Amino acid sequence: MKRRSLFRSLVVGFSGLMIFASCSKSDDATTPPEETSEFPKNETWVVYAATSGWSGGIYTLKENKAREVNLANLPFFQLSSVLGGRTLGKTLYKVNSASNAQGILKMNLDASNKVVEDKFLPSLSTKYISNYLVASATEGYYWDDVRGGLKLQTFNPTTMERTGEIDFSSLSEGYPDESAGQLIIAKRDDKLYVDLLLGTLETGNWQVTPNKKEVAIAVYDLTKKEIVGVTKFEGTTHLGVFIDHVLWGLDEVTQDLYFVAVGDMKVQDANYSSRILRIKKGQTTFDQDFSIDIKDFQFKAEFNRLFVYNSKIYTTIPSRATSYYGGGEHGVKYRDDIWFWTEIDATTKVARRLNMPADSFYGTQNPFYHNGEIYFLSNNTKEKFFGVNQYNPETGVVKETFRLVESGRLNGFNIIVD
Amino acid sequence: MIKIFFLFLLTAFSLQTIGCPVQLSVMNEKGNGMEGITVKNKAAFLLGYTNAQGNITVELEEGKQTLLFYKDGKQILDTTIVIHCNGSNQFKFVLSEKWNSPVQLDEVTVYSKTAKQLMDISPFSVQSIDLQKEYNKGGDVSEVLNRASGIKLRTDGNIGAPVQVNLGGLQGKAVRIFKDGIPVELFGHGFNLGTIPLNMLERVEVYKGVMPLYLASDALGGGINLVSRQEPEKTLELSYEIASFNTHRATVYGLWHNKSRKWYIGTNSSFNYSDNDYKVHVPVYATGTGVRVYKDLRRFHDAVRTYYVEAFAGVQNRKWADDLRLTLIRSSFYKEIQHDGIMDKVYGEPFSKEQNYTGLISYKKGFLENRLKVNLLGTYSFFNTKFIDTATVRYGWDGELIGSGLRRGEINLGNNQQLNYHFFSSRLNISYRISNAHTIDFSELYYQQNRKGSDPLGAITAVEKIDVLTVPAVYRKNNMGLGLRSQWFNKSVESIVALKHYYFSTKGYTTDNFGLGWRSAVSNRQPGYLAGLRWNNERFMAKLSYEYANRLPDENEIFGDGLMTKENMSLKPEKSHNINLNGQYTLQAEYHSLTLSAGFFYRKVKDIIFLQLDIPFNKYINYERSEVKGFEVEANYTPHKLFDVGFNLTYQDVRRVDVESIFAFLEGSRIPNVPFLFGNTWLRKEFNNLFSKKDRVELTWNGHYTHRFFLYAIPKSQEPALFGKNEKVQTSMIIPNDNRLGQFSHNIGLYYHFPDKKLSVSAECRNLGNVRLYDNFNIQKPGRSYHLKFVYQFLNQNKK
Repeated sequence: MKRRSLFRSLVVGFSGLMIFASCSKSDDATTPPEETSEFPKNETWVVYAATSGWSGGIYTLKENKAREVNLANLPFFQLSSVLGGRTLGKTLYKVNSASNAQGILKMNLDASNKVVEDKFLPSLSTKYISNYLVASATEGYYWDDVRGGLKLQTFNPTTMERTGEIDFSSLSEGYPDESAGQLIIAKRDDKLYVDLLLGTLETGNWQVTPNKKEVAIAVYDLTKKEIVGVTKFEGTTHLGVFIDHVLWGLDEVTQDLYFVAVGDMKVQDANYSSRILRIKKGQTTFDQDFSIDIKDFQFKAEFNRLFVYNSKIYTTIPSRATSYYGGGEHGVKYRDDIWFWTEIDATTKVARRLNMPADSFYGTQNPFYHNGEIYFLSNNTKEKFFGVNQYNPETGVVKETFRLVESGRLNGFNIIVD
Repeated sequence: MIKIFFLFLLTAFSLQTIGCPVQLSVMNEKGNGMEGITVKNKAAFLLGYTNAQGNITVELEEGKQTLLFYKDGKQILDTTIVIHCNGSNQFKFVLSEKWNSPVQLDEVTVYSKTAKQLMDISPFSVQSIDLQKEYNKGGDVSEVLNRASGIKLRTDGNIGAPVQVNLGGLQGKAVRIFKDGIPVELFGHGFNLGTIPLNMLERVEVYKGVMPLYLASDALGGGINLVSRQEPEKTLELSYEIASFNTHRATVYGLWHNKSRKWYIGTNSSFNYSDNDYKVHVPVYATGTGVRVYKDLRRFHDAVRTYYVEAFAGVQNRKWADDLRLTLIRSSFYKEIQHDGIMDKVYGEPFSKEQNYTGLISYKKGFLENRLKVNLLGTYSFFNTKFIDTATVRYGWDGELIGSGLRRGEINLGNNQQLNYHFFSSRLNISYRISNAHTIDFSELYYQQNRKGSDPLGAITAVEKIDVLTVPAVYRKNNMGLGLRSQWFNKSVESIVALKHYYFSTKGYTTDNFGLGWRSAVSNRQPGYLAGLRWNNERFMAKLSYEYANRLPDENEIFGDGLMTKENMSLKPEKSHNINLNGQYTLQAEYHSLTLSAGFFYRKVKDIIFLQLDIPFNKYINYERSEVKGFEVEANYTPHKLFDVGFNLTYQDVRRVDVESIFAFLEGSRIPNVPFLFGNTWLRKEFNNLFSKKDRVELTWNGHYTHRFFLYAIPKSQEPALFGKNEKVQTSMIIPNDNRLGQFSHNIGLYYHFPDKKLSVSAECRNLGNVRLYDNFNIQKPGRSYHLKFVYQFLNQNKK
């Protein structure tokens, strides 16, 4: 009898455990951030939040926009690698699929304003090197090494189908690693501006070593369907860095095109340091009289963000010398809170540090202009600030847009207007 | 705390002991000593062999003991003696020539089950899986392990693919694997969980959370000890398996000894080959539009070829040694690499290759009438490994070229890596019985690894242009343990307490941001301790064990790979508090039995070594903390001796705790990419004398279930209910990612043992339902496969 009781107790005990284990968790009451009338109701914030391993999600906030945002209870679109994204109207694009398959992912907002996956344009590449540009709903460009380093691919951003290619092979000089558009694909009017890199990828390096110590942009006329020419600038090397990290900008006021040459980030040669370069409105060649050298502000370092509005360049300048490959001197690391948002007057070259938290370069998104304000992302561990500040270029006033609270790093932010 | 522990040790030394020495003399009718008689206890554990005078001294517990005597593989005596530890304990046996008539052993299985039970009654949470009845089964040891409770093996494919063990919620390097007490990595890839045929092993010991002292291991979450097959009698067995995907496996096990058992030689070897060309559901891209469509296509670059040849020779039953054995091993491993970690990128040419040479010497001797036992083992291994990825072309999943004239390397930036490793390892176990109920144990494991190599396409410093791999890297580890085993209350209670000490040092190459490099060194030491308690009576057994465990960082984690992963010289050991509570109820009747067991486990882990992904370099850091709470249950019912049925189930709640404030929204979230609910069920029916007298037919069915789990972290408040829909998070990164709540697969097997017991033939079908199975995200495992296996025994026919 005793034995039976014990056996029964064991069975009951196990069953209880199973039931306990299978119970769903009681849903914590979601406490939406306080609705504030100061936020335009027709705007949706798109927030890319990353955890320590770069995974995370894309969140949307519309009715629940707030100065402090906790993402714990908000629905999200999960990503294995959160490095921000780009928008075209209400459509979102990002490099690689949710699980990081190589290519370009298109996403939309559904009726409940959640991000949903739409279509995926795969890259044939086995590497994280598929740069892209969405110019309009029907005009897009991407780079895929397997289809040819000097062949820029075209695609339809609505159907996400490849539509053809633009051949820059005539610019080849026979070097092992040649590419057009691998890191820079810019469009202004009816012309494409792509980085032309002819060189060799040396053992152990990420960056291709160019055959000449210069940078080059190939200009392509989309109307005439012909290469206009190649413009070069000496004294620096390496336009752009990574594909999620756009290092060109179009000043929508002046229509001048700006580019960042980062230099050889491993060697950090002072003679070929990082510079901001320009191709002026209506021109197809570099403005040889214009360049902004990082050495004038800090060295060793490089420019790693770029936004230009009304001849004011917005970028980050580190407070300490540092190196992307191995940190910096005296224990400084590249991902420390050293990257200060700075406004540089393109005409006078006078720089002014903006009054907002320094960034740590976990997120690489450039600032953007929206409704008279320029928005800057910062991840600052010391100040526990992971959010956005907005700056009014007319008044010079800086205001905190929002910050994430206990919700990871902010690696991307877009505003979509109804 | 340590003072108290030592005080306890000293007090314990004065207490009583476990067994006592017994001298046995075996004579023939003429009064001459009989040499080479095998003596075993009732559990079939080998106690030793009689010397030239027919004498042997063994250690037996007080009370009634049954002894089995064998000559030339045949049982010649089954007798019971009574031991009084205070008495002289000298027994004389006079045997006639009757051993010439064979003794029929009807229930060899009784011995193996008893051996398993003996292992199971240690105070630790340990499971011993007896493989002696599994030699006719196809596949490798990982499949048998996967059917045990509380353990989940995860693989990237078929034969030769990497296998990761999840045990008590912890996985990867937290779980250490040994072969006969030696870290398994010293035996090369030719001998790993994904390649070891069952015929090479006697049993597998699975230590769940608390590691036994004799392994002297720095395992964080338990370990697995693969115990090599050791037949007591002359044996020669060949096995051959042919299976789907052009799979071939063969093993040979042989043991020969002279009549007096003074010396012996043997081999325990295997060969595996497979094309691994099973079908997978993969994307294919339209050349023009790039549109992606999914097709079922065969893998085309995943072949594996391994061989492992082990030859051993030894002397035994000498005055100066109970056993001295020399083992020489030559193994080879060749594996093609088909895809990346999420089966997105397809590769057509890279491969890895390894040649391994190992020498191993072991010495066993009992001193002071066996009160002091010494077991010393030393190994030296030389490895030559290659990793080649130099292709300038790219492939699609259909095996066709899709690009050429590209940058070298399909996987990364190209590799032509050659590494030479020299491993040295030694293990010392000393056991001293200090009194009737108490034994003190000491163990030490020393491990040294020297690496030097080159990769003309790998990491080269910017300034000096040094190939980082050409600079020698050294890693040393020394783990020691001292413990006390005691029995109490007429042996119904057994306790173990022990202290451990872990130490490692390493030297390697580091570089700074300017490409300058220099040699660096780092070392660290940590204490550890454990305790275990077991109580049992005839039907119930309860165990409680605890260990403060450490897992030392290895050389790769400290120095990185010089290419994608940067060094971290301040990396600390991972630490964990492991607690296990186990209970078992056994109901045994003449023809039926029921066993119910349950285990609860708790782990509190800190300083988890975490690969922080970044560009251009990743880095290992001590980062996360986690808490594991889980249980496992198992029931096995044998309504008839020829039929048994059972199931097991494991649930483990593995969650992040003390999360850094910036990521506090993940406090309490599940550690991602860890299966948390899985189980097995099985049926076995045996038929005797079906087609002819004394033949045996066995029919088995088993099923395995793994509940869905997530690849990346999800806040606890947004987790779907255990069996509910996932509505709060839009994610495709679920395993499996096709809306199934979990994965269920089942296998059947039919085994025929011919009456002469020499030959057995088996036919199996794995993954009968041909379902898509995934252990790791998106990496599809084989579908339905067929296996046919032959096992032939030339000598030892006592085995079933």
